[in-house]
Amino acid sequence: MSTARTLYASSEASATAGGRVSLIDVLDRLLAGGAVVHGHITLAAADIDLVDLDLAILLASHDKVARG
Amino acid sequence: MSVLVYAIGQRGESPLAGYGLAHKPLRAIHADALIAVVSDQEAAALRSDVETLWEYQRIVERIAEVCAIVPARFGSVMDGDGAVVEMLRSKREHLVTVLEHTRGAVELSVRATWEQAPEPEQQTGIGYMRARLQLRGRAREVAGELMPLAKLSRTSRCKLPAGPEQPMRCAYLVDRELVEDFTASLRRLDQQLRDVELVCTGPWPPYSFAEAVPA
Repeated sequence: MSTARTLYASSEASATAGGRVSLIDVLDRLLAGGAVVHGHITLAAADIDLVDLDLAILLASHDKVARG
Repeated sequence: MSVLVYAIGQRGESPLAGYGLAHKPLRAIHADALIAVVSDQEAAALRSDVETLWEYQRIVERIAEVCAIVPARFGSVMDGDGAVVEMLRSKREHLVTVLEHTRGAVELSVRATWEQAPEPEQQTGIGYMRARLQLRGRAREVAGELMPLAKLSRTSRCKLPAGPEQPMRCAYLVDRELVEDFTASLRRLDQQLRDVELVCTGPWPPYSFAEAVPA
């Protein structure tokens, strides 16, 4: 298993959006995927568990957080 | 002391080392043949800012490098070791099935976007609805055109976009040694699909296949 990265992108434009695209992928997996081992998930700072993924993506596009 | 669960694996696969969130050491909680990879978690609630999500993802990736795992959903804080043992026992059958189904495979993400935004005059009324329907139809077509990717994977799932500004999101569970074949197939498909932009990321731990019962 190596680090998740952009393996293929149609164009430069979609490739340069890599940081953001990957963040969307992270949100999609960490918050909507994974084994549910606990009935109640508590998060601090922001109720991301209650926030629609679309909103999280909007947030991410504003933050423009690239992978560190 | 509460613990944060990162992943579930099988006992005796590999020694566990390294640190979890807040520099707490990772450790394993055993229950029969299963282990949960955890770190101590002081606060009952977990910070959920973007940096923490990235850090969590990197930690899970490191765990997945040394053993086959089912990743836990972010935010799985449990009330101590006893609660984790109980969870491992009660979900044992499901977890073992998923571990076997995903062993040796990685998750690849493919998102497809296309030029389909409704014209401004279509933003209201029936024109807008028609545009939405067209989009939905095109999404289904694209899902069909991506079928060769599904054939290269053990299993796959696609989410159709809810709105015109959103991509179609697909996840594929692919044998590690077939990842290159997968991206080569994706490149060929991309050349045939004129109006579609594709982005593939991975390899991810099998997040999208952790809850589904394999067929």
